[in-house]
Amino acid sequence: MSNILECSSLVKKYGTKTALSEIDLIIEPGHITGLLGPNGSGKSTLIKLINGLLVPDSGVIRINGMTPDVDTKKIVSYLPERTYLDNSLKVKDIISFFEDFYDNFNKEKAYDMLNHLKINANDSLRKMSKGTKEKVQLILVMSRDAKLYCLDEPIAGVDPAARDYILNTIISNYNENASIIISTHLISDIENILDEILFINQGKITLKSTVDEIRFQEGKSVDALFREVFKC
Amino acid sequence: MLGKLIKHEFKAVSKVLGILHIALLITTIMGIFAINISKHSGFIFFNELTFILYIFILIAISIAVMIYIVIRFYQNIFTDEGYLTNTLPVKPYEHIIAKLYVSFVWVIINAICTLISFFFLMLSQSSISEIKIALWNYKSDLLDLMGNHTQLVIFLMILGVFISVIYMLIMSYAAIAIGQTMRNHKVLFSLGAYVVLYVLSQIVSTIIRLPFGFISLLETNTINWNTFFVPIILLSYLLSTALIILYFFITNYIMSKKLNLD
Amino acid sequence: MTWNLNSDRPIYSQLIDKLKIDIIAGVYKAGDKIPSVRELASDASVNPNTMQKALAELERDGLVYSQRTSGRFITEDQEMIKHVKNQLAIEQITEFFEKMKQLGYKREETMQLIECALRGKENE
Repeated sequence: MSNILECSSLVKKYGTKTALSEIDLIIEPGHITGLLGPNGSGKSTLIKLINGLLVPDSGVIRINGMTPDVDTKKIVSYLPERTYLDNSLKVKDIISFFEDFYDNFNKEKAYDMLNHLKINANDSLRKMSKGTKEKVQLILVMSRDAKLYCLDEPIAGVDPAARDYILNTIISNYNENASIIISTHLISDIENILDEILFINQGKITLKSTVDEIRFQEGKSVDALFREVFKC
Repeated sequence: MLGKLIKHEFKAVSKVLGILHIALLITTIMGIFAINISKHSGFIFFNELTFILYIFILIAISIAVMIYIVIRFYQNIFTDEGYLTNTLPVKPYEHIIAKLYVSFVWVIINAICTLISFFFLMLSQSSISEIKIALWNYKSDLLDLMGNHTQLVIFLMILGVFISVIYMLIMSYAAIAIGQTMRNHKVLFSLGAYVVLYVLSQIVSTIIRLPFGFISLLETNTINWNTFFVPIILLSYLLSTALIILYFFITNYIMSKKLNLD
Repeated sequence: MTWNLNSDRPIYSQLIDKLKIDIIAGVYKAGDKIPSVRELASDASVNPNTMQKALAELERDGLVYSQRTSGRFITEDQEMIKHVKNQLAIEQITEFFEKMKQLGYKREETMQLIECALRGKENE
């Protein structure tokens, strides 16, 4: 089975500023990887490159062996940090939208999760709080049977109870053929569900390890190590 | 996929555009009402002033339609919604075609509704027979001008309308896309790009038409439809089409390679 | 079931400890079928790979065995379970004596303190 994500010598610049410099990275299927770094480290740039929202300046990026394009967008499920839904729609409208465009979208699963979180499908997005909208987006993203899930701050704007539900959803969605990349600041909350960790700083990957390796070698949590490494 | 894009695009824009056209309907009804009251009660509700107001509202609605379409393109592709739009398993050119098609349909609907509204207003002002006489006079003049090429001329006119609508839309799209490539003041740059594109295309079309015009004139003794007007009209349509294709390429290129969402 | 994972030890060894305690304490009895990796991972809110690693080690130790189609089961070997129980107890005791040593108590002093404490408890 080919690697879900492969980057080699990946470079992306914005004008004179280099956002990503010579990124080499491999993510195999069946992993939940944490992409951790301070603001401006290049996290969102990398995620946008994975999703075809940016084009590299040099180097190579492959999703399941393919260059980011229509075919990779079919197998990558992206949860951006912002709300990207048309506010004038109702939840059920956006569900049928996803159903139309994504073959691997599981409608029953989506409705199941909506019920669990007590969100009414007939409600208009406009009337929802930001936290509820984010839950809806997460449900849409996790209801797709994708090969790579890119979650950008999935639990940031969400209350602690829903956070547990979301983390459990991520765990139970786990399958050995797919991988999840989670980019976040709230490391201590999600540390336990990650297996791999990437520290990224100033456009370079400064550490690639696993949670347990770090705890074993450093005697501290990833969160504590992060604070130490990225001290202001 | 294109069909689905078109379906959802219609769904997304029809609410606002529908409301604008209901406003058009209401304005028309109120206009007709005012005319009738003026006629029967002697109280002049409808005079030159209200007529100007009516025309103004009609124009305002048409402009609102255009503005809404352009803003929709910008918002759906280049702002937060763009995170969804641009990650759909769809090629950028499909997005452009879908939006172009739906916008085109609505602009034509707007044009037709505006004409119908005007017609009904005239109808309540004069009677059908008066209008028929007026049209008949125009028709005779027109027929003289068109000779026996009536069908061709009407076809060319309709084709011309279609081409100019598409041209206007895709040029707006290209201007927005160009503005988006800048880091700051994106809207300002888009407006600037629009002006630049407009001026450039005017210059280009004049430069190309001039020599052709002269050549045609020199080669014939008479100016008639076959030797002069039709070639010139076809040439300018060709030019517009070429520019449409150019603007399409520009928009597609920017959406594929130069996208930079915040 | 609360797993109480702390943040500076490797997760998988904490999972192993917790599972061992559960087995010894009788939460899982000898011969019981244990939940799937995914269920356990979800319950503990940890990565399934990590849980899998923990279970694999328990399998290596012989506390747990797997039958390909039916899942994982606790060993029937009562002796083995008792052995693990004793091992954990000894670990706790060793740790206790270490701590007492750090406080400055010698072995005999520690034993006296233990007896005092026990008598005190009896009198309650």
